[in-house]
Amino acid sequence: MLRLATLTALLLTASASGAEDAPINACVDCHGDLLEEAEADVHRAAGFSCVDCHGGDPTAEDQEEAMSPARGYVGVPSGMGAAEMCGRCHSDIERMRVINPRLPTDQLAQYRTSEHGKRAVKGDEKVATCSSCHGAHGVRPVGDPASPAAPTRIVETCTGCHNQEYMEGRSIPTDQLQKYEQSVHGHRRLQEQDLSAPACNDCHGNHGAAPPGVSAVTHVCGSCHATQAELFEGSTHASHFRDLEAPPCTTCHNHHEILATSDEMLGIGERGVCSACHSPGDQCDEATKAMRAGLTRLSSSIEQARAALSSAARVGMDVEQPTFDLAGAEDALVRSRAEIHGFSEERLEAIFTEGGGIADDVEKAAQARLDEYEYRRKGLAVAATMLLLFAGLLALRAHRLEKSRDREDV
Amino acid sequence: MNESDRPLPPPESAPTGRRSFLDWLLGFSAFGTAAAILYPVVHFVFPPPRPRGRDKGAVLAAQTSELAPGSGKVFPLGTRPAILVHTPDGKWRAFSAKCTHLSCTVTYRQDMDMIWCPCHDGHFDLTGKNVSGPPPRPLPEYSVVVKGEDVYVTEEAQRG
Amino acid sequence: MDRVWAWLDDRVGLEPVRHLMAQKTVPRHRYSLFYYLGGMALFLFLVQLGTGLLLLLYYEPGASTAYESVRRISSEIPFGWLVRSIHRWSADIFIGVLAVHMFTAFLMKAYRRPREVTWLTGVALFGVALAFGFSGYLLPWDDIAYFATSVGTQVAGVFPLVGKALLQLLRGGEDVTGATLARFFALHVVVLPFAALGLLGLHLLLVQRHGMSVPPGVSEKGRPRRFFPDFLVHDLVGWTLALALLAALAALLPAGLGPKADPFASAPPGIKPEWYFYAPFQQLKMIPAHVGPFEGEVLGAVGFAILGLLFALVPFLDRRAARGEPSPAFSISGWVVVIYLVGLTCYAWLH
Repeated sequence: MLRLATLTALLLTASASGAEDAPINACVDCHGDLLEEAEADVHRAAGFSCVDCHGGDPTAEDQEEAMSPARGYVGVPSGMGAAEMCGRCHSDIERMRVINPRLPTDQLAQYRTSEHGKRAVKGDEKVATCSSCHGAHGVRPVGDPASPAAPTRIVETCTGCHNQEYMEGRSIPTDQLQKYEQSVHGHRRLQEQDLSAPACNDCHGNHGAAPPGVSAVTHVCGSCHATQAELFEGSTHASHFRDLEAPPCTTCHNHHEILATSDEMLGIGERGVCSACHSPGDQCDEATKAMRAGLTRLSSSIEQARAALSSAARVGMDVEQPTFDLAGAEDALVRSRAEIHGFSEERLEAIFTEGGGIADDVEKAAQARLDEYEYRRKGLAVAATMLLLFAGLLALRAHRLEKSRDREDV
Repeated sequence: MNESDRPLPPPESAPTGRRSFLDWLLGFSAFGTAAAILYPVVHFVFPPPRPRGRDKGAVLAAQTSELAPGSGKVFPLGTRPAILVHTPDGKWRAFSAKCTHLSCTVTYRQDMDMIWCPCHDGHFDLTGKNVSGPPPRPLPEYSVVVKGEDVYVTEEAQRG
Repeated sequence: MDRVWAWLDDRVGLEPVRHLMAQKTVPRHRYSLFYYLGGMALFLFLVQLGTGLLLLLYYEPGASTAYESVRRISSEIPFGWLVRSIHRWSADIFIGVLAVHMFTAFLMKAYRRPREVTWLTGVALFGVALAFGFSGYLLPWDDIAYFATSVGTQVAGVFPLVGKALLQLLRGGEDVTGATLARFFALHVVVLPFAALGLLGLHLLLVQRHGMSVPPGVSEKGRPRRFFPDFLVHDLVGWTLALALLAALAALLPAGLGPKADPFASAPPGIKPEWYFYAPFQQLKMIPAHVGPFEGEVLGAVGFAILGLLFALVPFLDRRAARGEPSPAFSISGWVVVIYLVGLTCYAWLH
């Protein structure tokens, strides 16, 4: 036993990097299986060992001695206790500035305001705490892709608890993952690995995780979709939504299952989102019908221009410049769909006119090339006629020559 | 057939009306053919007026008087959009105007002195670096040459 | 007109020309229609020279300027589209006519003594024409051109012993780059024209010297036709019709331009060389990777080289024709090879 302990202690000493003389650590005699997990642990690399968090006596070989509260042993903390244990260092500004000045120190304060923290204070043992997302013995920096809190794994981590099984018996919804997977954000994040698409923490916060309140939604969505948020805040609808205490953005677009938008969402038609508040024939209906018409007009002008360009290209004409110009009309279409959030018919009309103008010009340019092609065909007809006439008359002359040669011989 | 039965062929030296018409037509069509060949060749050989700037293998993006310091302009470089920026401290820079997020065309924001993408509020500083919002990468930079009043941009990316 | 002639005759000595014009005749027989092919090939070559020279006025060689200059020719220069498209179509038709001219000369055994050198210069000219086609294809520097050249030069590298050196010589380096474009341009515009003019000059001179050959065992029908002006007028009819065809093709099916070459992009799927290289291309695709101890590709390339060599040496191999007798063995082998090559070409075209 002693030999094993000494050997293990020596091993521990040999493998600890960057630490001063590593303290003798008898914990690993029984808890050696945790060493492997701790291989990449940041705290271990910084020279911390078991007792720095758990307390107790690392020199004692006897379990009761080593793990006695008298020697400072605190056991496995959970809930708020765990957060406070981590916070002992991570909220200590002076200390963290020495160890790693780039790390924030407000995690515990944030946690207290979060749903997780509030429940933890009430004694909820199942609620998430620091180690639930960061790990306990194999804590890696969040930037390390193997960390459960890394952007590539965070959805997996959050939904590790926020699912039907774990949340059995609780009243909060458990369909977030299913909804998120269907959404455009989920699709880009999970399937295309686009880290600029938001995941749970981008909208709910990290340590201070909580659903955004009604008034906060625009700011949250608007942190990426700034144009739409700005337009909405400046529109007539902003105050109406506030009066109705309806959250902007999510009322029409949902929160977890944010699906791809389509022009059909505009208005009170079958897929229209306005029918939640509006009825047929009212001001909204009229306005949105006009807007839909404008969108359709612009889309079809662009389609027409594109078709004309490909006809010209098919007959071999050069369509590089007009193809570039058409992008301006497509930009206008994208902008018009954002502009809808400002609910202003005039501003929208202005964009439609601009885009439509560009599409028309492009179509004219394509037509000019088709006209050039026609001109070439006409030119060809003239030249070919002349050439064929010449060839024919030459043949006639050749025939005459032939005949006169035959006569000469006779 | 007997020698005497065959009608005498008209002597070669006295052309008939039809023959002289055909000869004339032959001459006319020969001339027409020559014209049909020479007309395009002559037009081909005389150079058309060229848009200035093309000769230098670069695109003439703007005149120096067009853009005051602290302003920018989107212009076509081949088939792709590019943005020319006259920085507030007087330097001329050019970048690809395709946002590195989802390829919307960026624009210059005079109120911020930054390059901005209207689609998802991406910000790029005047070195092209993505500083805020969803864009994952900086904008590729192009070379700018100012000659007198003309500002030229070449597609070859800035070295270094 | 006569005064001009007399003046030139005094300075230059035009008697041989006058003699030729008076005496040159073209025999008439079952197959004399094929005599037009040589003149047609010459006409098309002159069209290439003319349109090529015109294109040279605006083409700017170099990886950063070639593509743009070709685009400019096609879309901005007046009738640039016409000059470029004729050049492109005429190249194809020229090689087609050459192939038929060569094959009919083969079948008519025009290579018999004393025309062996005429035959050799002719085969060499065909090789020069193929080189013209291959080098010219790269010059627009679009993606098809770039990858077709990569694939083509890759095959050159397959030859045993000389392959690697040959590949580097052709490409101007390990890969197809602006250096390749530079030397292909030099080839296309200087080296090959000189070679062509030299070989063609000799070829035509010899044809005048020896006159037109009549196939062994074929009887002539009536008097031979005078070359000046009778046969020449017929030639002219054909040339005018060819010009009309070229104009129609240029106007209705103008030469296209793909996206600019990008060495870092992947090759477009189904990349193929020009149609006149389809036969060896398809054959190489069909050979298994290994045949006995040899690599399939090497076998294919060397095989084609040997075939070409045998074809060139036919005058020395065909003993019976040398004696003036019909040699059906050679004719039949020739047909077999041609049908096989045409079959390969069609197969490659359809897939």
